[in-house]
Formats: sequence, structure tokens, C-alpha cells
Amino acid sequence: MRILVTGAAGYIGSVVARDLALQHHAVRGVDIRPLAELTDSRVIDLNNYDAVYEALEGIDGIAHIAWPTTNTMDSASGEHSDLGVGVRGTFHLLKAAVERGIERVVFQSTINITGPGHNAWRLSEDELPQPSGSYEVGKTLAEEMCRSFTRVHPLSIAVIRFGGVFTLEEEGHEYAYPDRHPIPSTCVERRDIAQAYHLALTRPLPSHFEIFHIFHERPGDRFPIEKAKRILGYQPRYNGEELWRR
Amino acid sequence: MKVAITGAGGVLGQALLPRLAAVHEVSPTDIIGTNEPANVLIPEDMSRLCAGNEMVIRLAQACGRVELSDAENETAVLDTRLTGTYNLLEAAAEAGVRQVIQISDVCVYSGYPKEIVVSEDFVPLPDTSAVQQSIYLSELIARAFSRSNPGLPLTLRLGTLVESAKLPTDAVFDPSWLDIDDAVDAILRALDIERYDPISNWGLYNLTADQPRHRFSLLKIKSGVLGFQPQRDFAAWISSEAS
Repeated sequence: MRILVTGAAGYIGSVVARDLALQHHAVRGVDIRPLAELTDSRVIDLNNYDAVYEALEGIDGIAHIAWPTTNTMDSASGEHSDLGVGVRGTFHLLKAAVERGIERVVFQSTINITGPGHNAWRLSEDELPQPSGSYEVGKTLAEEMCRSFTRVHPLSIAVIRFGGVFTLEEEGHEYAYPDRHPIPSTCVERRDIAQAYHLALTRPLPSHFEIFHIFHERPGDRFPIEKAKRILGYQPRYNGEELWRR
Repeated sequence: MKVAITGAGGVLGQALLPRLAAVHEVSPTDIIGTNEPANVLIPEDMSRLCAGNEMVIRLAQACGRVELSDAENETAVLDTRLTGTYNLLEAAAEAGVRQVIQISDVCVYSGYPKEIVVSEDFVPLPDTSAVQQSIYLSELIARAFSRSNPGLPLTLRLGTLVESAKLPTDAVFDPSWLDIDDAVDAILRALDIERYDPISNWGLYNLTADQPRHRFSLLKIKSGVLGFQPQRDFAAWISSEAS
């Protein structure tokens, strides 16, 4: 499959692009920042519709990871903001995907929109989003926009939701406290995110719009991953057991 | 009551201003052309706009401009509704504004067949144009703020604004029509109510002309706390509805 990865220079995107290529996909990476490691890469700004449309030439599926971060955001309400390029960039990408006849998009959302608070112990993908703050509102709006596009156009979108991202590949990014404090249930290892992108781009979906929790697996999980396991065949491989097993 | 308006220079704003100014103390703002320019995309402008006002009426919307490309116009449409609504509601919550009246549009039901009568209880089915997406998603921003600030946003989904007095006799009837005077009346009425319908923390109402064979249910706006009854109908045009 020929896959466009947005945000391919980032902490998550770089590993997703790398691992999708290992799965024998042809990967094109785009980012607003320079990309070093990909043979097919472009520096584009998702604010620019024409650049987005150009970047989708010959592409079959999209892993949409790009989102403004504190590094790239110019201000809370400027062009590179959650409701600016975050939502608008998603609009450009979906519109261009429809124009190009692309049939599968995976959109990266966040578990924060259904709340990492302790209002309930186990929350499914069907939980009502209750966003607060521009990041959570932006992701909620972008999810809803995805839903609209799949209703109107011949396009299937898998939304994946997770929270903190750790990696066992690099020291210091275990995302755990030094005293062997267990990693939060909202976490997932980067390579398992890449696995989820591969599956969500290639596996049949029961409907044109599906939301999946993507987390590591451990006892006492608050955000069940059964749906991703059942429908996508997702099986987390990096559960950081050494971080929570005595 | 002290009331501020964004987008006061638009068609609805111009119809609203004189009648509003007759009973309230009004700060009309727009991005250009008013005494107090205010840009909904600039948070500081929204903070200044909200300070000292009890109510804010949000009319601002980007209009297509011929000198801009399609993509630039879409950007303006999305930003004005999304970032603009977020900035305003955030500033309003901070400043203690009692209510923000958000003007929305019944176009959020565009995905339903014309034979179906829709109410506020129907899930919106907007198309994927920048206009309809920005309208639909800006409502969700209002809903998000209603959780942290119950009753702050009141959303009026208006029909297509027309002036019945100037309407050509051969115009083809559209069940989304709403006389602009009824839109003004409804906004004035919304300023007067002390509370919103208790079904949620978010006041959400459809408003079009009240017609036989209506397409948009007016039950909630007529029988809820707003108790609003539009007065102008389009009886002379109804038989011309396109099939």
C-alpha cells in the first residue's frame, strides 16, 4: 500500500513511517519540519491545500498524525493552533483525499476527549466525548469531521485514541516514574502505535467510521482494547512489564 | 442591559442593531467598518469585547470574497467559526458574560431527505463543505463550553433569511425560509429570558417560518422557555415548493 504519513518528523510519526516501511508499504512522509530519514518526503504546511493535494498523488491510504504541538504552535489561536491548522489541516487532508479517490484514512485522536479523569473505571470507545481545552475540543471536532466525510463520501476512517506514548527503544523515554511507579493505563509504546496504523489501514472495517482504543495491555486497564483486538487483530507487544511487575 | 455584537456589519446585524439599541445599551463590533473594530480571531479583542457586557450576540461569519482563492475563502470560513467561536466563548467565560447567543443554521440537517421533519433531537447531518462543517463544529464548541459554563451558550439555528416584503412573487418556496424580522424578534426574546430549557446545559433551538408542511420542528422554541412564535409566513409562496 502507498501510505502518506503526516507529522512524519515527529516522535510518533517517525516511528510509524519507519515501521510501515518495514511492513513493505511505500511510505511518503510529510511534515512542517525537515525530515531526515525517509527517501520519499516533503516539507509541507497543512494550511496549504494545494500542497496537501499534491502530496497525495499516487497515495492509497493516509496515516494522519500531524497536529500542532507546543513546538510548532505559534499561539493558542494563530494559524498553527488546534482549531487552526489542527482542524483545518484535517479538513484539507480529507477534502484532498476525496478528490484523489483515497479510500482509507487513519486519524490520530486522543483518549483525553473522553476524559482520563476518574468519573468511571472502564470507558469504551462509545463514551461521549467531553472535551475541555482547545486541544481536546480540536480533536473532538476533527473526529466529528471525519464522521461527516465518511457519511457523505466513499471513504473509510479509523480513529485511534491513545494517551501518553512511551518507548523502550530509547533510554529516558519509558514514561514511567523512577521508583518503578506503574505506567498509566493511557499509555502505549510507539511500535505498537505503528502496528495499529498498519492494521487500521489494511484490515476490513465493520463500518466506514470506527473508533479504536490503542493501549498497552496490563491488569486493571481502564480503556479496553478488546475492539481493536477483535476487529483489527491488534496485539500490543510492548507492555512495559518490567515497569509494573515486581 | 449591556450587549455586545460580533459581525454587526452583516445583514442580520444591520437589521438587529436599531431595534436592539432602542431597548439595550449596545456595543456593535465587526472586523471593519464599526466604531469598535474587533476580530474574533484575536483573543485580546474578544476579551475587550466581553468586558463589562452581560450578553454577547455572535453573528460573525466570513463571506466569500472574489479576490481570494477557494482555499483562502475556506480558511476564512473555518477560522471565523471555529477559532472565532472558541476565542469568544473563552473570553466570555472569563469575563463572566451571562450568555452568548450563537447564530447557527438549519443547514446542519442537510443530509436528511426533504420529507422528514427534523427537530433538535435529530443528529445533525451536515455535508462536508467548509461552510456546513464550520457551522456544525462550532455548535460542538458551544456544547463543550456549556459543560464547564452551564447556560453560557444559547444556539439559535436560523433558516435562510429573507425579507418577505421584498420577495419576488415568483420566488420558489424553500421550507428553510425565515423572515429576517422574525430572526431579530427571536434574538431580542432570547436576551430577555432568565434561563434556558433545563434538558441540558446548552440552549439549542431551530427557527424557521411557521408553515403548514414545515420541515423543521418549531416545537421546542415555541413551547420551551423562549416561548417564541414567528409571525411572518410565506403563505403566498408555499404552493411553489420545488418537488
